[in-house]
Amino acid sequence: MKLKKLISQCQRKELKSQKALYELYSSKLFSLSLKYSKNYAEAQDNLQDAFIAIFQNIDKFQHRGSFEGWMKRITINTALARYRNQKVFSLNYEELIVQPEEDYTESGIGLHTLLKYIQELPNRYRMVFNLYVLDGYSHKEIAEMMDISEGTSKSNLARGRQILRDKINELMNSDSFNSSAQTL
Amino acid sequence: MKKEHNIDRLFQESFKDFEVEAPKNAWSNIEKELKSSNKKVVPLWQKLGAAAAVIAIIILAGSQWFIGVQNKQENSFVEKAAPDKKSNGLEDKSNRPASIVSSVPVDENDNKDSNSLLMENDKSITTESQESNSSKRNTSFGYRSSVATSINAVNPNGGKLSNQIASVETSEQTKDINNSIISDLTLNAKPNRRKSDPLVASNIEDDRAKFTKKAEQKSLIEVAKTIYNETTSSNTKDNSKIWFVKPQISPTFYGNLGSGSSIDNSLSQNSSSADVNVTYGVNVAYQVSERIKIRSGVNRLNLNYSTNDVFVIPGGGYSSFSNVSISGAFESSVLTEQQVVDLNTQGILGRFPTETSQLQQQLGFIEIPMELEYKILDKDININIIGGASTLLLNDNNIDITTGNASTSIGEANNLNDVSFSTNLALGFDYDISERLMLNLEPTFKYQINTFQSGTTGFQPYFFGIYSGFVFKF
Repeated sequence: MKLKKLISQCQRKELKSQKALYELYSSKLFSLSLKYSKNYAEAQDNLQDAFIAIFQNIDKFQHRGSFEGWMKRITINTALARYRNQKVFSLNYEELIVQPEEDYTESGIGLHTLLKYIQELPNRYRMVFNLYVLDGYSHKEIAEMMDISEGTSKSNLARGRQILRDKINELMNSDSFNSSAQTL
Repeated sequence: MKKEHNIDRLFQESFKDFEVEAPKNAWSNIEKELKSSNKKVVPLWQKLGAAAAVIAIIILAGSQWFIGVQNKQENSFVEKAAPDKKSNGLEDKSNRPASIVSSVPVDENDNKDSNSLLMENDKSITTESQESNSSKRNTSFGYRSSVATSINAVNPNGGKLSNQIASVETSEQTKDINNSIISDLTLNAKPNRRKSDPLVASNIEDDRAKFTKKAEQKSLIEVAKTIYNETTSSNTKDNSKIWFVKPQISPTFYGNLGSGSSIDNSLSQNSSSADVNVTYGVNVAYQVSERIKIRSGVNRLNLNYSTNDVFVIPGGGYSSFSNVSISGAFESSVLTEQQVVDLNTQGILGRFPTETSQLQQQLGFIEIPMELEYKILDKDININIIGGASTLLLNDNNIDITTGNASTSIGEANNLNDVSFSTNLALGFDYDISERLMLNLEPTFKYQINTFQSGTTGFQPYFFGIYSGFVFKF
């Protein structure tokens, strides 16, 4: 009920309530922005843009679904906005070079490194990987959201996975990683 | 069914509880933008003042017009309903997603030298957007003015590292679908200093080769539309509720702001009183904007006004009231006290009547209002101020004489206009019961303008009602 009241106050554009809402959700949405952006600065821009879109459209929120989900969707859409129509990663699914996977469960790779790898992915690969793997969207949904075909979504995902896999393998095989792992 | 990948699991588990505190200065940037985009909050007294001014203008203009037509007995009343100008387009500033329109990230970052959470400022992309007057808006934040990025320069022939600095400068004036955005773009690319996966490199090269700013511009518009559509789609139903129908009923208190009697000047010294009657009807409102409604409808209006201390003597012809057409069936005379005294003095009346009677003027109108409703407070209980005018069509005209419990019609007033008008002022209180139902209460003051023919009386009627009813929203 408190959230409902806070939303109503935000709908009336009360700045104090807008700040309270920001404080409540900024960490979650910034974390989301970090995954979908290629660096910290861009993630901040995305967070700011998303919150402004949220506040400007909050009067249209009808309390019919999860408010957090609604905000996350706007945040993701804001990030997607930057890269939409860059139809540059089309690749036939069949062309992929599928490599065997290793077990990474005990890899000991830090979260910052993984985030860095995601951020370093080419834009569309990053979007599709995040949407599919981390945020649970289907290829059909991704295709609609990104205005691409499902096949492209699948190929982008496979390509993104491959890049991440290569990087992680490279890191795990590097001397510095092994020596630090041994000291642990 | 999703195929499980180890790599997916690694990322999913790592990012399960991933949460990073937002940058300290992010809120101040948002606040700055909100302050400039939020509508200026108008104090209540200003809203009331503005509404009162509008109503005063309506009344003044209405009065002038009505007085002008009073003697001519023109009965026309022109209604004009403003067409719904609500814009659903992206031009609607208040509804436009703020974040998307000015943001033009264009780079492809594959910088391997930086730590992921660091700002990378060694390369730059500068994007300037100039929007047309209709959509001019500055949403640039601190970071955006110098977005840091890097681009791998890749040798397309070998997929190896290239030390060659590729500099791409493009400057293009792009006409988007609105012809409103001009974008100047400069890309500076520097060489990559690490090994690059040939597969990745070729794709990035492919990416860059196919990249066009035109597509970027299209992207902005489309994304803005997407977010707009997404956020409004669930709201469409609510927005469609623009018709409001209210069956209403009200006690009506009738009164006189002028002087004298509407029946005859000789009754001006008599005490008088107005009865409480009931008005009922249907009110229909159309929502023009978030705060403004145009209203009309039809009401049955009954008004009663009593003049006390008159005397009835048998036999007609002893007196007459200037504004009353006496019915042929009424074979008595109604006299004021002074007239009785005079007749008695003259010896015409044999005896002085002892029982006083009451003259009751009953008026009935069909009222057709045309009003403007302005919402001044939008909370749990909405408060509206309503101003406008009504056309009153006379449909009941009778004068009774009441002595004790007995009542007889003596005739009807002959100085009433068949069509008259009133100026209306009301304060409305709305309480939402459900999405489709609202409880409404409206104390209303209506000042009648040309109920009586000019020069026949100084009587200036008004009435006050407390209209209430359930409003059905469609």
